[in-house]
Amino acid sequence: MSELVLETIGLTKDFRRRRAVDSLSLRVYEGDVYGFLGPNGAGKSTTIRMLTGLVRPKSGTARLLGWDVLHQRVQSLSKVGALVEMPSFYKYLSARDNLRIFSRLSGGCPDKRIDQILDTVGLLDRANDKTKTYSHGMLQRLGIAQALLPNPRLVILDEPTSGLDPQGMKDVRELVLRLAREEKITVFLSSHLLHEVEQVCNRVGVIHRGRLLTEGSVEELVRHEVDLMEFKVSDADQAEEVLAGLDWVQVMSSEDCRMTISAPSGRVCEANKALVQAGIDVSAIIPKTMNLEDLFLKLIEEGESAD
Amino acid sequence: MLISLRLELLKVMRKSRTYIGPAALSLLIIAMLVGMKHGHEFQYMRRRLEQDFIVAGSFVNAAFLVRFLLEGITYTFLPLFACMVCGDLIASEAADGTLRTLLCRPVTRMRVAISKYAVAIMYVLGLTFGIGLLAYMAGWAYLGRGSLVVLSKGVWIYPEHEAILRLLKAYSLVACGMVSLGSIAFAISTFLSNSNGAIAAAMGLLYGSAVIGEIEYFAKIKPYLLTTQMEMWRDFFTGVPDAHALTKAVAIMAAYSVGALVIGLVIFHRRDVLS
Repeated sequence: MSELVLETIGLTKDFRRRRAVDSLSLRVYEGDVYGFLGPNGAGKSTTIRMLTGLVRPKSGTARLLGWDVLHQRVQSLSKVGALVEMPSFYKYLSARDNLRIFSRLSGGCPDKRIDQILDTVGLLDRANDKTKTYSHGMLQRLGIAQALLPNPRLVILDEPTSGLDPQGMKDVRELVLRLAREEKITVFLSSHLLHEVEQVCNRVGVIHRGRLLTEGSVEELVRHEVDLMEFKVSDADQAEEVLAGLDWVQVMSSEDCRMTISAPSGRVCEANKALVQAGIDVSAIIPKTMNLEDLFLKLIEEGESAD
Repeated sequence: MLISLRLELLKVMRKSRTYIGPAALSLLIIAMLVGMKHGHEFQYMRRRLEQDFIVAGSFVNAAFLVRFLLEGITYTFLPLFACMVCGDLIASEAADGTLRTLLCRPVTRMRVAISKYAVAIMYVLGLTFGIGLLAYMAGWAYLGRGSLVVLSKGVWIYPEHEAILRLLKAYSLVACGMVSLGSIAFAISTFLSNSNGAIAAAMGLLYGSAVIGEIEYFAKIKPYLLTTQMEMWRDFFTGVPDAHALTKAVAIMAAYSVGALVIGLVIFHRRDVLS
């Protein structure tokens, strides 16, 4: 088993009467590219703020590289780089000076290394420009650059592709993959973009309303015990009504003459029989692989019905 | 700690806001110089003085300018510019989000706050004494040197060397007051994410304190108000100041500074960074 580099145990945070994070327990191992997935307002950023010591938890523990974030702040963050929400820099300083300032707070790093990092994120030619002249995409890349300053073992990125154009998003994803593969850096990445997590991450945790709904490898999660089947039917609305009467079937989507259901693989023929007996023509049954988006929506739906 | 201090100094030095105070006060000195040289008010004062005294040379000189400057800026420009920098140090970083980036580094909040506070105090002291020195140099060059004549509770005349000593003591006392006010602005900025709010609140407290000091109902607390103690600088120019009263003034201002610093540090240590 790889070393545990990030761990939360029962992490809880309230903002006045609203519970933002509820008994969250996460585990990220060395070498992981961990996707922390959830819709807007799910508690991702609050969790990351607790992980980086910006916000004090109401209860629970957060550990980075074995150090308690709340009580051993300096040690826990010494080999951690973080980009929390929007990248923010001193606008009246150049990118290089900004990185110099932040690097000195992590024990310093030579100018050569700063240039190397700026080169990695593609900003070397603009290194001496004041950051107030930077575009959002450039600031995002500079944000990642500052996260790489302490030569980190763990990088925490909060929505790193937020606000970027498609090319910018692709660049950031490639950069994350490169960091993980070539530099062997563990990455904890929050996102509400499912395809992004699916493309980049090997493990994923899904959070909704502050609670962890599931955690595991992307492959494990999409290879669910239930299968997805697409039915081509003569009347999708009527078919949905019929299948609503079968408690082991869940209709995932229904559009025109197509409907996607989730059902145990051994009982698909029973669903088909029920439709035919109700006078609905079934022209095709197409097995579908459940992707992360389907799983995500299913988990959210389950989470809401459990509330 | 020294590294943090150097970094904070670097940031303050690169901010344009830092230079607004010195620039505005320099312009004020120029305006005062011109006014003193050519203004009707000063010529009238001179004529009035010459009715009762034989005035050798000009009483409108460098020492007079430096004292007169203190009269004009103690409750206006100096506190405003002190608050502009002290109230800005944490609140503006919170508003810009750089505090978030800063506190994600392996550095204790205490270290960040203390280095910011130290820079704030350096700025306040530099501004107070720097502007006094600048006024003296400019006054020397434009008006000349000489004895200090003070028309307050009578007529007081101090030879030049004694005048400089008294001016230095008066500026030191005002600097103490500015440090106290700067500390209050700093404390307020630790829980606000808006530097203008911190500046306005600190200035409001200063003026509020001055108003309260004038209301009979609050006579009992008047001796403990910051504004009451800041007024003590005038005593340096009206004979021999009361050493006990001065010690008390410095102690009260130090208590304000230490109290505000401790409150600021506790708030900053515990606050959630949500900006």
